[in-house]
Amino acid sequence: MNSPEGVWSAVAQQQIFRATLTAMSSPGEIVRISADGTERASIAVLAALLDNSVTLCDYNGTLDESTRRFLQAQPAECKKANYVLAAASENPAVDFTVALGELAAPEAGATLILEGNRICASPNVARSSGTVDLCLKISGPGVNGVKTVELSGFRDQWFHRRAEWVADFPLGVDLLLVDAENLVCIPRSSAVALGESWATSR
Amino acid sequence: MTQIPRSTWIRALTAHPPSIVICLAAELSQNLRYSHKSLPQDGLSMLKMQDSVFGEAYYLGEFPISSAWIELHFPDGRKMDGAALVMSDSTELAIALAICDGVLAHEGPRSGDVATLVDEGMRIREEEDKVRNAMLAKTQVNFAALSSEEVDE
Amino acid sequence: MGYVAIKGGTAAIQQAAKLLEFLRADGSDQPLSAGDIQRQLRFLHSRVLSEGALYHPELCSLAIKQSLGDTLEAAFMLRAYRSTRARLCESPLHNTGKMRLIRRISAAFKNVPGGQMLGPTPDYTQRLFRLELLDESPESFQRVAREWMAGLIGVPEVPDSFPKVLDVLRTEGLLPDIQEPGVPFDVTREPIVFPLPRSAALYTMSRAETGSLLGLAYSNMRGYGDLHPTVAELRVGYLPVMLPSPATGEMVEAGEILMTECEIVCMYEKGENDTPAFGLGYGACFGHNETKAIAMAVLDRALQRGAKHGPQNPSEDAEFVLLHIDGTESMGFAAHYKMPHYVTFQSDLDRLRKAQQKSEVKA
Repeated sequence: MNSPEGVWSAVAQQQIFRATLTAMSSPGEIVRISADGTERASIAVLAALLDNSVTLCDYNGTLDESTRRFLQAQPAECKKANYVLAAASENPAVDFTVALGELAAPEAGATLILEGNRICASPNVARSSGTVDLCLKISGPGVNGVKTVELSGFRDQWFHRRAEWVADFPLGVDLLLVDAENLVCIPRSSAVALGESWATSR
Repeated sequence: MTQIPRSTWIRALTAHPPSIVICLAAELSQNLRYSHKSLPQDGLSMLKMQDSVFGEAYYLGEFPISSAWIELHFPDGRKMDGAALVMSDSTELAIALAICDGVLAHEGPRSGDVATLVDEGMRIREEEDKVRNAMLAKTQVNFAALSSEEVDE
Repeated sequence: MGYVAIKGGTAAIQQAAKLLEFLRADGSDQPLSAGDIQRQLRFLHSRVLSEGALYHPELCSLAIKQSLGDTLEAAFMLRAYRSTRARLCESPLHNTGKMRLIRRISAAFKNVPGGQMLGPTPDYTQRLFRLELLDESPESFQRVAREWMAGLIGVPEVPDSFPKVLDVLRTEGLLPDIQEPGVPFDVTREPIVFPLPRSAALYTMSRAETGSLLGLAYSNMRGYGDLHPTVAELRVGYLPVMLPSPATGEMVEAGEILMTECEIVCMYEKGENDTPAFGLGYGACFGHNETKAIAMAVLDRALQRGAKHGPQNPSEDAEFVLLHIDGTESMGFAAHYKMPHYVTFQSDLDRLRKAQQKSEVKA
């Protein structure tokens, strides 16, 4: 009797969930997510987090019908969805909004999964890839001092918009940044500064 | 094939011990592949009822449910769906019922064996229905035995 | 000081659990099977099924077995298990017109459409002991079912479902109109804030501990209330559960649920259009639980009155009724008093001594 495999198996989902929890508890720490390489990290994380009681906005339509069925989440428009999946390689549209929650229910703020090319802690790796880089300096609860994350394929406007969304903490959005295999979480409680990347500073 | 309508196949097949259905499904899967169209799961469903005095909806309580929805790949190249929702904890049983459902509905290999199991299961259910019928019939009150009473309209 | 005493109890706690197991097993050769409990202790099983609020006959039997027959503990076990399970879906709207009946009676009318069928009931038995059951042999036990089954030959066929008794009254305009179903309230998911919709009351009562429900309903019957109910119809049977197939979208029978339903008719009062109509009450629950269903119907009617005219007695007060009938909640609170309260009580002692000293000084 063949059971669901890969990221759809209960064992894999437990592991992905634990990894996501670790990442969320230690903002800026890069965690390896992909279970067996067959699915992108974004789908792996969504598979672990979503069920039929939450809503999802697949903003760029990158999920196929079968994946959407397996995720079981109800579709919703971006400004209302519990979870939003978006491509980080393009800047957010001017009218792009997400749920920020309410004072009586700040947990209703959305979880935004941004998918880009590369996430790494080491500047050397990013520099050698030759792509446009962003450097995030993350501090705040769960971070010892400052943690630096180098991104490629992530447009900077996302982080300017994030600053607006979390300005009225505890309202806000929790960010999950993913590339093909890795995840880094930036909860709304974190402070994020955009620094010069190694590549652009050369 | 079977005369039993598809909506009653789960009722018929669950008249047998689950191991019999699971065993047949395992044999059927030797001649065909299948893939999941949705995540097979077991959990609970909430029973929504309509009260019969005012017609208002209310919940009566939860019951266990397992579900499976699969795409069967038959040796002749056809790809056909099978599905099952069953009041059970066992995802294994739901998948087995979905295999039987797909094979029988679309005349896959050994669909005759599934039809036989469905027919036998229905006979078991009919015996249960006979017992329930007897419970009613044997305890039906015969008011004709009472002497002159006015008839209530 | 108090915490040291609690920590030192680990060995005692482990032994207490083993002791329960010993009491369960000592003196018997054969353990009870799940099937034995479900069949031979049918009404106990049905009670726990409805109070556990989870229709899982096998686990219900296990809960009764594991708890040595403590219905509150057994219901608690079903609730605890339920809390570990994912909610996959909600069923479409079902109604009891589709029940495969085994019992159907009316106290309001003698001749009802389809007739009165007593089904399995002790209602008309004399409550005299059958002392021969103390010495029941396996042979005489097995003969009981065999003989009844042999008597099935020649039994006429009767329909297994019948029109509702109340529908007759409804066509004469004697009852309030049927309403739109609306969206039911899920007390397991939404916080309870009064005033609650009637659907919340029905679900809360369906899961309620039978004794609490009966006590409150009885208070109304005895005089802390004004209902004078008549049972229009009582049904016991198996409701087929229909769910849409993921493949075809068509309704498929996924299983069936044994349930009890009671409809009562009470004194008439003015309806919304000033025409008098009968008051109605409704009770339904998992399992074969007639007293519970009747009590539920009485309380449903009482709560409707309380909502309309303000509660005149405890059974009409929604907060009083709905917050005190859940067995797991009430038993849990009562049981917690057995847990160590050493530090709390020490502070009570200290305060009492200080208060006594003060009053002595004054004197």
